[in-house]
Amino acid sequence: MTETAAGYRAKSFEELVGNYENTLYRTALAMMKNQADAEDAVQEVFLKVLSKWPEFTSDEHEKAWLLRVIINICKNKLRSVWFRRTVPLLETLPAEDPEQESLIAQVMALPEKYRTVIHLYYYEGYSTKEIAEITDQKETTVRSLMSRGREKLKEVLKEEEAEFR
Amino acid sequence: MKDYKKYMDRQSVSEELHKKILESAAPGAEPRRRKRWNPAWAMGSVVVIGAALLAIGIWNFDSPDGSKANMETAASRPETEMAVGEIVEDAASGMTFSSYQELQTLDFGMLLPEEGQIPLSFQTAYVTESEDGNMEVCRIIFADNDMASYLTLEVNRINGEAGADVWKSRHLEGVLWIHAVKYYDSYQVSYESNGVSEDLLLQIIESVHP
Repeated sequence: MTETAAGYRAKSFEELVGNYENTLYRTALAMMKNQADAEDAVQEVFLKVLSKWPEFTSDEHEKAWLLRVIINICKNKLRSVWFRRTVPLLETLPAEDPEQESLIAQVMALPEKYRTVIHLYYYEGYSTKEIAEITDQKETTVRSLMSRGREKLKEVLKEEEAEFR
Repeated sequence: MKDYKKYMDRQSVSEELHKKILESAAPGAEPRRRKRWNPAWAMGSVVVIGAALLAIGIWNFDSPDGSKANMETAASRPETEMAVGEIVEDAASGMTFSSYQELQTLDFGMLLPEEGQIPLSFQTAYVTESEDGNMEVCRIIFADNDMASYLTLEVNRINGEAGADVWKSRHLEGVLWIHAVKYYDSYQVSYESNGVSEDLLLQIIESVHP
């Protein structure tokens, strides 16, 4: 394995799979909302790695590239006529408890553009600037999506609380 | 959002998929890695060959109708700009695209107004075909020690959409302009090196979206 001047060590295919398959799967799941399409997207990413084998320069670059690819793959799937016609809007996913299930359902009910940035921000811990780079959007757009996404979640939470009273 | 995080932590790929992905790599066939440019060699080649080409006026990219329209365009443009790849539809398949162009060092050198602006560890740039055959990717990768900038232009053939992805380090100021112009039935891609701001770079990239 070669090591760059910046101390980055290029990984084997097996290492890349081991390090990122679940990260990629979770991002795809947040976007696709179903296991089958999320797994298809993950497989597609690694096929691209095998065919292109990009020259990464850091772990950060490696992860950002893989995320970018899976986001593009998922977007392509989501906008295909076949996907729109055959996949239900929300597929029930197992949760630990009703509260968690409720939140997951609310997040999954958001439009894709909100789900993606919310996942990258809350789960992957990326900053809005980094999300802007990964998703190829302006940082102001990402901030706006984050803000509106959070607002939508708040509204749903408030409505549910009101129903229980 | 703790519940969201806890929920996602529990999600993982199936063992079946994990095995399938690993099996997709043929035994003993580690994917080839792109060769790094030797900075000194690259710089020398750029200066010598680039100067020779400029001297004899090789600056010609034929338009799809066979005219030399682009020659005039290139001549009227600043020397920093040129087309590096033209992606042409494969008439036989209708949807897949067969063009492939590795951007050579000398081509890249012609993008830059001054030799001092050549990134020392410029890695590679290429136009290639995606796995699914419906997207062409043009990518230029710069790396300068711990600073790196990665620009990728993707052209989605099926939807006729052009877009660009940018990965850019926090340290590096804008170094490249990227243009994609739909030209008859193909896209002409050109790049211009400059010290542009990130905002301007993004504006330019956005402008290639139809």
